[in-house]
Amino acid sequence: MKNQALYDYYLAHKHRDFRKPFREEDAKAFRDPAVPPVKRMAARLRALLDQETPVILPGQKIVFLRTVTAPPSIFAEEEWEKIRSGHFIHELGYLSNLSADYGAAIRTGLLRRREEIVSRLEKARAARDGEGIDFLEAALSEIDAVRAFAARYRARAEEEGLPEIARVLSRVPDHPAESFYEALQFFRILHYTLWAEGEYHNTAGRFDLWAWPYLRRDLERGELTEDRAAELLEDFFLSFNWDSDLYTGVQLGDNGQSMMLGGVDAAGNDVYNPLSRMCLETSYELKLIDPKINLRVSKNTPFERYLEATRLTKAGLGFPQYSNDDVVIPALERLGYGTEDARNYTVAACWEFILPGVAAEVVNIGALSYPKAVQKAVYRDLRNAPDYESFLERVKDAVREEAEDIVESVKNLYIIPAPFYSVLMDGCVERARDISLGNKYNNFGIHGTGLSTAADSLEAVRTLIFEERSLTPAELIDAMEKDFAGYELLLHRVRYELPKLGDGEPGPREAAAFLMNAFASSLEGKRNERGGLFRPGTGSAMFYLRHASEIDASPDGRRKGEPFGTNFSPSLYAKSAGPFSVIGDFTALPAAKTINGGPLTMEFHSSVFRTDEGIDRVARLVKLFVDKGGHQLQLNSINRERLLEAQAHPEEHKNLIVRIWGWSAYFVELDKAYQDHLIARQEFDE
Amino acid sequence: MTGLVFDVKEFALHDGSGLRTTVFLKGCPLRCAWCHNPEGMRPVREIARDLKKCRHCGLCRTPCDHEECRDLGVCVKICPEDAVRAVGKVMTPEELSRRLLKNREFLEEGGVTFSGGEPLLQAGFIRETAALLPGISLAVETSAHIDPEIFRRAIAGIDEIYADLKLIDPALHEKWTGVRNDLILGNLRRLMESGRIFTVRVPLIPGVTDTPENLSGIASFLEPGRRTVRVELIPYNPVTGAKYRSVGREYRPAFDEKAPLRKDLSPFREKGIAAVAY
Repeated sequence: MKNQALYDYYLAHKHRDFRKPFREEDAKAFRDPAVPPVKRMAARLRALLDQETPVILPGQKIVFLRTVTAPPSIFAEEEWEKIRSGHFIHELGYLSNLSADYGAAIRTGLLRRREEIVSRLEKARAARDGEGIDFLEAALSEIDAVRAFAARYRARAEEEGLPEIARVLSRVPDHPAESFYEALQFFRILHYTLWAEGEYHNTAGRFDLWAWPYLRRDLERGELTEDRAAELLEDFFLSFNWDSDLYTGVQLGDNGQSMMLGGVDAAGNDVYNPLSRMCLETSYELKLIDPKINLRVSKNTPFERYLEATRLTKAGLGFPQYSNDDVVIPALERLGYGTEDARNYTVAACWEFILPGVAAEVVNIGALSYPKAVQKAVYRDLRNAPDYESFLERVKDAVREEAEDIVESVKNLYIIPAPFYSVLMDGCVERARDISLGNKYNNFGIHGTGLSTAADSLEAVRTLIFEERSLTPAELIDAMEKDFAGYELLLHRVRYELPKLGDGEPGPREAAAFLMNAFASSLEGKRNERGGLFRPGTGSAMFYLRHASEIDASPDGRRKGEPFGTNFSPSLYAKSAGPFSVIGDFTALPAAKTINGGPLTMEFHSSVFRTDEGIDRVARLVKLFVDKGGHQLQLNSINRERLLEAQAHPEEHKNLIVRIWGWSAYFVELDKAYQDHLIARQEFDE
Repeated sequence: MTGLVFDVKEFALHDGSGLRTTVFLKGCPLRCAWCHNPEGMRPVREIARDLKKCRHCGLCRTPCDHEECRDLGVCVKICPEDAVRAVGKVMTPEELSRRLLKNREFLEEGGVTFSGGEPLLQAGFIRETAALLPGISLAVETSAHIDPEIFRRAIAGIDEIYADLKLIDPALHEKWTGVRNDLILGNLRRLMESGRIFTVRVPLIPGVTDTPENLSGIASFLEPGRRTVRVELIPYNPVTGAKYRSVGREYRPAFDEKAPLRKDLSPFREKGIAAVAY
């Protein structure tokens, strides 16, 4: 730790003492229904920043702290209800899960952005483009609000005799950053403002791609030592954590602050650089849940990098999550993304593939429950199916019906405007339109939940009903409806004896591939109202609980109410044959066709990482996963005993971090259902 | 030809180099007081109960005619919690090799290890299985308490050898493992003479095997092989006892489990023998 005092300050949460609620009377400024929402969003940001008090913490280098908690909505309840009744509202209504083009803004400076907006505004006025005028005026007003706020921080730094901070703030955000320090501070201002504006799951994007040139220049010129750079990086990483308990998510920690390292640039050149390595090390040192580290890899990734990354896995944060360029880039190209854009992919809050700057997608607009489709086919069609192949066709129908229901349900999408976010996205100022209305790519992503439960269920149906003919459809349906009461032998057979996805057996694997292909083909050719596609995925998010509660017991022996496995992983109750078989199965599935994102998730006992030898073995395993064509992987280093202990004595395990479905969190802050799910997952030990 | 397998563990970290799967073969001539794998001792199928999961519902006493339950006295195909399981699976070399080769690409980065129990009690089964694993590196973890001729032939096709040497004193060896160590010492001596590279593992049991006399005695014994032998001291991990209770036994070791361990490498290093302690 380079700055132990600041770190300790964070751990003690002393910075939260500065917090105060939003002054309600200021809400009048943005509650007037006669004013367009985009301008009201600008007014709200202005009001919030006006109420903010600049606070510089002892020893802090990267400043900006939230002292005012959430401001109220720009909409009164009635007004929002009216909007809701006429539109599809995604989650909270605010923009989420995008990646801004921070690098471009940091290279440009807000003053020049401002000039671009001013000149575009003239054109909009000349063209009497009312909507464009509103948007551009809102953007302009927000830029000025941010500049004014930064100026107040600068004044505070001067007052407190902190000339270095004052000097940095005299450059950014107005002017392009000229040093690593300025670039980091600039990013912090932009990222802070996105959260303040109201957007959420605001990712950090490809940090080592745009920030490395600053660091390299500083190091080359001797203006920064590596040690000092590491200290700045620690401070920068801490900045993701100061306010994160105020950020929106399903659970605390689900805040989307994903940072992508490595991969290739638009021209296809390797990006991984000394800054990437420093990020892995800093994350290891700090052991905090943010930023959530991701690493892009490929067949060309040197083994040494896997070792560096596995050392971070050892820390138990659930980082890094790996994405495989060899699979992801071509798959995105097949979906119609331009090559340069596809090469620039990063991940959204969890694992959904998104493109910084150019995409305005809703990557988690819905979730398809594979087991629900299988249940539907079993109840409706199994009695009349002459053979397994015919039954599979009915399963395909059921998957398509589920997919079509989702597609139909997401019409007339309304997203609350995000003028400052728009300033950081390509093309919005040019078009004079807010990012909430769309951008170059406007695809919608749909998760695919419970793949293993569904595949294992099909394998049970295939074996018992069609191959052995040892069970009738009526008996199976009765057992499912009765939650296997009176069917103990059948339960044992399907739950513990038949092969499961992850056992390396062809039956479940073929069933899983069939389901994924069915999902993909059911969305093929479908367009959303923004001209975008629907991208099927392999993620589950929290639907591993929610979808599981919607169906009866399943043919694989999952009892009623028991959750599914997380994301793209074996069923929670399958004791799989081991890590090799799991990786073998999950790299053999057509993930390229369902490329919205969603990793194979594996848990290893923390003792596996105890020795260098253990680290070496895990790194080899990850490399094989990638070389075999796996698309995405996240690893947890956990210790079930310790999790149980933490459930019993949460006060003694406040800093215990775990990976949930695509984000990391403090274990004791999770709802018990999520804790229990983690405890139930198979843990591979030494 | 069949073998009796009680576990197949993928990604075994301590059983040889690289990415490995370890096959645990059931049955052992030794009865080490500290054994961590009590379910590997008896050379027959037996039942194991997970006492934490058992709800005492009695379903497992339902009469049945399952082939898998024959001779076990209970039905192992009915427990809703899978708390009553058969330990030991009869497998043909074809079945076992098929199981292993599902992960061929992984094993090519490491290999297969035969452990136990005492794997060489099933040397013929190992040999026939190995013949079906061309190109896969093989290792064996053995007590070396086996007929010299069987030992010699069995290790011929094996790439990495891990042999235990627990106690150098014959009487103490018999006291703590139930057998004398003459077969073991003979096999190890011939292995040293053959010039093959191999690893000797010494389980460190507090007050039993970690004594200065024992470690320096083992070191003296291994000195002639110092160019080819590598020693690994494996510290004792307290056994929870649950594994013993699951196969209907109690774990009451006659040594002090909590006594401090002497991880002393010096007797080996002084004699020029490569040694590590875990």
